[in-house]
Amino acid sequence: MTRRLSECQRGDRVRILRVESGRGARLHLTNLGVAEGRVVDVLGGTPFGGPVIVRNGDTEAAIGFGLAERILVEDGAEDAEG
Amino acid sequence: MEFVLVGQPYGGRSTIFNEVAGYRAGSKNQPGAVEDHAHGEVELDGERAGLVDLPGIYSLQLSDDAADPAVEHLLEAPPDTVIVNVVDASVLSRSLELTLQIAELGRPYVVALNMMDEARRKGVRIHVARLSEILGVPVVETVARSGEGIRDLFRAALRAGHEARSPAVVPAPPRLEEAIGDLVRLLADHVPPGRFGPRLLAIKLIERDPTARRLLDPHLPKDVWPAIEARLAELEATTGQATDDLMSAARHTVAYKLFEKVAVVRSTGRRDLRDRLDDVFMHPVLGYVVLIAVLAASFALVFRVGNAVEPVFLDQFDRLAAQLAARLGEGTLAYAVVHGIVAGLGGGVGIVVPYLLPFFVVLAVLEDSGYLPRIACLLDNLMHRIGLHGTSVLPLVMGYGCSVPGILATRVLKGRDRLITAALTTLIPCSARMTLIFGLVGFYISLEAALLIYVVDLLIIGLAGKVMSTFLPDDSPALILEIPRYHLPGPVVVAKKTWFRLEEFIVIVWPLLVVGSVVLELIDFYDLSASINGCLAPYTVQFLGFPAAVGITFLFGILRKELALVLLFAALGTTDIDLVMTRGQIVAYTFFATFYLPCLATFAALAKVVGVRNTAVLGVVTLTVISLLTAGISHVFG
Repeated sequence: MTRRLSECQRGDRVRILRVESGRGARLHLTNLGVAEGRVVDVLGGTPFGGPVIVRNGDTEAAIGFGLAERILVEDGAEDAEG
Repeated sequence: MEFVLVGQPYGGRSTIFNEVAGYRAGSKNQPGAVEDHAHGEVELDGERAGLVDLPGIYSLQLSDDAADPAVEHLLEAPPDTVIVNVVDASVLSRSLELTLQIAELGRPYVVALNMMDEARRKGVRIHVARLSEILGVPVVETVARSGEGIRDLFRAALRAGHEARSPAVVPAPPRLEEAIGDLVRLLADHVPPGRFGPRLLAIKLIERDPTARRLLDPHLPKDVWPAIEARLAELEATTGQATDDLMSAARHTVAYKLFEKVAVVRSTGRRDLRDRLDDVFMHPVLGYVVLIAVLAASFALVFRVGNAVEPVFLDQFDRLAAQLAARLGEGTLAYAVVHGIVAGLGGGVGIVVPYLLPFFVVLAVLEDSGYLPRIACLLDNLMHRIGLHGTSVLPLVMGYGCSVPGILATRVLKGRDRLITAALTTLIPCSARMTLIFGLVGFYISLEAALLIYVVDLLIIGLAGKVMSTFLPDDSPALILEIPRYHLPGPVVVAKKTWFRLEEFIVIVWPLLVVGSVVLELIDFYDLSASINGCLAPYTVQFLGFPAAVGITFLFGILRKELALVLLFAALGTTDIDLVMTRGQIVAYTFFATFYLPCLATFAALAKVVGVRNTAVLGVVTLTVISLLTAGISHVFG
């Protein structure tokens, strides 16, 4: 099921499908392990439209809510590199 | 020879720098540059070399919207530079993505596998010799916090500098490698002189890095560009992905494969206590309870220490002043000048030691423990209301201690975020302004009224933020912030951080305090107060509605905010302010004296961070708005 990262719940494991943002934000996200094809664990969000926190491997990243709304994900099992 | 420390944030670069740098000469940057590089020097086996600590970077890949001075510094570094790539060994796979990009530069470098203790605890075993062989450069295991391996690291760097051998080329996946090969052939004889070899240029072209185009444009015949574009388009067509995404995805894969070749992870499977901390600290409700508790405790600690220590220092300087009066004779010009110098120095000590020192210690502890980025994350949505991001929280919080370090802390921000945050930081009542608010409104009216000023101040800040972000719309994408692991703060790291911040404060603030104090003594000596009050009267009396005698205090207030209070007593000739001023006047005076202009030292910091022109504009706007508000308060309540 395709949805937005902003709609995910704590404990969800999702695969990143598409990052609909400018090049700068996409690069920065890639550096933190949030890029197309990779699987991240959602650690939770902060209330009232605060950032969503995800973990990819050893890296935890907070992603502003507005940006999380522009990241499409699907339920994911295994990371691209297996 | 110069060593440049390069690594991802939280990898321990600065810890290594602080460990070895003999001294820290100021930055070479112009005001307005994003973040200062720390410069120092290392001495090893009788040889000296420069040492530069670049701000943390995740990647050398530049986006078109923001130039990164750290990346630029690295790309333009002189030929005898040795890059020291500081890698967090406990997150090796990700860290290697940056290492691969450093390898692409084709310059000598060494790898510091830092945080080896953390890696071992996580069950990560790294085959150092194999990694060194694949990369073709020395790899040294280090634990920066305890100094383990640091000497070996710099020995290896020194040797690498002398040998100046090129590192190994780590090939990209075949499809990309083909494209790189084709581009290298296209560039062939047109490669500009300088430090960019054809392979690096080809990679930068695939990354769509504007640097490559800028460097190539003057050298490349016009007819080559279409061929390059065609090759890039072909790559996009066959893979169905943008070439820059392709490149970063490829690095991710190569780094991961490299990691698998050199490391074995025997996961302990246990959840560390630190993993569970965030269940509370980042909890949607409890997280805020903890945050408020941490901030309240921090401020309580700072003010308690400050209040206890301040009188001790002030007594010393009062005694010194009394001795000077006896020696030089009160009322002489010599006494006025010397007393001004002593008072200025004393003022510096009176601010630095009692309040700033504990404040910086607390801050360094919060920073080193990893809690600070979590604060930014928790307050991100609140900051959005005023058009900023969570990353702007730190300068604002620091501003409650002293505006100067608060403003200096905005250097990590870019462009409009920096300008707005710095402007708002000047509106935060620092500890000196706190004495004004509590000494006047708090004392003569009520504690609640004093707290109300803080609330009104927050509203003004919110409003100012909103207005500024309307004029300077948000060009930056949403918050993207790494949440680092928690660390037990190391006393050495905390001490060094505190010292570097204090040093920066002293360099900017102290000379201004001394010069200012001498000027004030001279005004007093030549009895200029009355004429200054006369000059200011049309403004202070008729517009703002204050007694004429207070005019001079605003001049003092620019030098040091809490001086306004002391001088107010002197100017009015009584400590029973409520006998000569109405309650409305007291509120209006406090409000005005607190906010009309930041102090001179704050101006100096502002000019350094956002430039002279912006500082002047900010000064004029603040003075105008606060004057109007004050006049309003005076006429409604006066």
